[in-house]
Amino acid sequence: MKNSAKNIHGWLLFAPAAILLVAFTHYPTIATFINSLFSNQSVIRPSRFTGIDSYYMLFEDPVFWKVFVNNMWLALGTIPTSIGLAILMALIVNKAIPGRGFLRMSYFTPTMLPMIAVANIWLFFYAPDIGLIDKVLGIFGFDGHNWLGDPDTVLPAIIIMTVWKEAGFFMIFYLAGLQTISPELEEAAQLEGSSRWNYFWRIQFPLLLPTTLFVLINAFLNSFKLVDHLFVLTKGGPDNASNLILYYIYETAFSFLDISYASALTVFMLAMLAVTALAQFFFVEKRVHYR
Amino acid sequence: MSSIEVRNLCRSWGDVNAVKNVSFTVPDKSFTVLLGPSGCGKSTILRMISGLEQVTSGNIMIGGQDVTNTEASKRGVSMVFQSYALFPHLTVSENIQFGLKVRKVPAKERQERVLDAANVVGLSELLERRPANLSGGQRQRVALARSIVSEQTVCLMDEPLSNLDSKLRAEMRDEIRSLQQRLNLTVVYVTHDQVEAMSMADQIILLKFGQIIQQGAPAELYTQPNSVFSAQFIGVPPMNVLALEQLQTDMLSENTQAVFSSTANTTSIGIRPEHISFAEQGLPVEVFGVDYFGGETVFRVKHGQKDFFVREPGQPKISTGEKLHVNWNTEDMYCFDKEEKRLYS
Repeated sequence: MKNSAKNIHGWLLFAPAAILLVAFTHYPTIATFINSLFSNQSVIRPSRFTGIDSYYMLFEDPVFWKVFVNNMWLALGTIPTSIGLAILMALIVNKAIPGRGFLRMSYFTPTMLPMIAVANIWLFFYAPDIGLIDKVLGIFGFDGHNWLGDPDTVLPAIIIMTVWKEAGFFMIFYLAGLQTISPELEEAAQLEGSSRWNYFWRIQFPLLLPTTLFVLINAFLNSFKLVDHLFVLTKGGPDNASNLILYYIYETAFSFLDISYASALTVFMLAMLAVTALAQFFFVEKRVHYR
Repeated sequence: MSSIEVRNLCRSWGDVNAVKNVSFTVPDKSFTVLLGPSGCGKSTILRMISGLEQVTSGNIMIGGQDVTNTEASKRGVSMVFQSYALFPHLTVSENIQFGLKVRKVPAKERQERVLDAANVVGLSELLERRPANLSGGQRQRVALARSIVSEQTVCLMDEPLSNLDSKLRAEMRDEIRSLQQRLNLTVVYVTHDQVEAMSMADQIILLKFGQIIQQGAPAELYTQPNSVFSAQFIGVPPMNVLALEQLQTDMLSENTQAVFSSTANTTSIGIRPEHISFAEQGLPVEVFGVDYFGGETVFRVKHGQKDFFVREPGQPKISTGEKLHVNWNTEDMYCFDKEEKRLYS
């Protein structure tokens, strides 16, 4: 084959992936960035260049700061708990116990459900007075509480639901990680008199660090990405107490039709996620042992 | 005192009996090899001695103490695993002192003992490396050091050399044997390689299907096999076992014929390859293979449908296709009955 023919061949192979990436990732990102630099277009006023005005607005917008802080609390509330639970569940179902297959499936079920379905289930749990939680608390003489209607309890309620949804998913990764550890390591440790906890802490956990890094990044991205439940549960309310960045972007763009500001919010969120992911990879990777 | 005594040991999983009523004694400071083909239960026995495996019935005594139901870590044994079981994220030094840390040995003493153990196996230069950056032989040494540093008098080894190449294996054989003698260890060593067993053991326990076939010193097993299995498992190439019905017995010397006519139940005879020699008279054979090993030559010969080995020192001028006769001394011949048991005359 001639060189030019070879080149064409190469480009043809590359094209499908390149076209998809450009059309659905790079172009929208750049377009969003450009949109954020222009004002909104309307019938009477054409769009004009406003520079970083939208970003100024972002920093002075109290609702934005509120949803940003909410999102941070959500990340903080869900990530350590769901990782801890995932490890615990993986350790349990990694053992040869009766009904192991059933247990594995039960742990994984929340992950298989769509977020909307999960939200519907939990809407029933949280419903004031007639919901499962209030019914159970009622037995012990507690009064009903509007868990999703109270700004103080709405975010914790969503955190618990998210943990329930995510832990099973992360468990699968930990289970895979545990199964790559040779059982002879446990026997060697056992002969030395190492307790279950000592073995976990000194051997299993360090060997699971690559899994943890992966899960950590995924969990962090998910805490910004998963907002489907807000449509069903709270619509961000009451008083933005459960509002999250992505839902706020959606509202700004499609309810308030402020494309320019929504673009600025999106660019901000993208930048933040990119920086965090990079930081996690660079800082944590140094401390992670890869076999 | 750290002798080991195993009495009527059994292990079964459901209907499968992996170890059937095994009893033996490992004298203090001796090197005992559990030898047998794969699936003979040798590893299971070792694991039951270590405490990593439960016994179904029977007793295990270490140093006069009944440890049958004692936790693995309290039996006073150390173990070297086939895969070495090194912790991949810890350095050599951390690997060696893992057990000492668990047992809360003070840092200073720990350091000294690690250096000592590393010296013994020649690892002093590599203490800060991780297992991934070590060769197979070096990993093996780390596993040994981990066992030495525990200062337990009983050391259990589960096929520790099977992952090494043959040159290294020969080196490590010597090293393990001399280590055992220098440190006065009581070693129980599992292997399926009869060369390891012959070259290292004070005592060999030969197993098949979860039962002991024969036990004794290497020379005893070689010269006095009690069955066809013993005779053929030990020795390379294995003992030639020839069924009488396949032989033209009238071609054998009168003395030889006299031996198996006097022991009426003989159905087959066994002769080690080195005890057979080419001769003018005797069993007619055709040479169909010649393997030259330098110091000796092993001939593969055929008598009727039956082929067997003849081992001669040096390089005799005999080539494939030649038709010759073979002969042997009557006292080098073993007789076996139809249950493949040795007949003593």
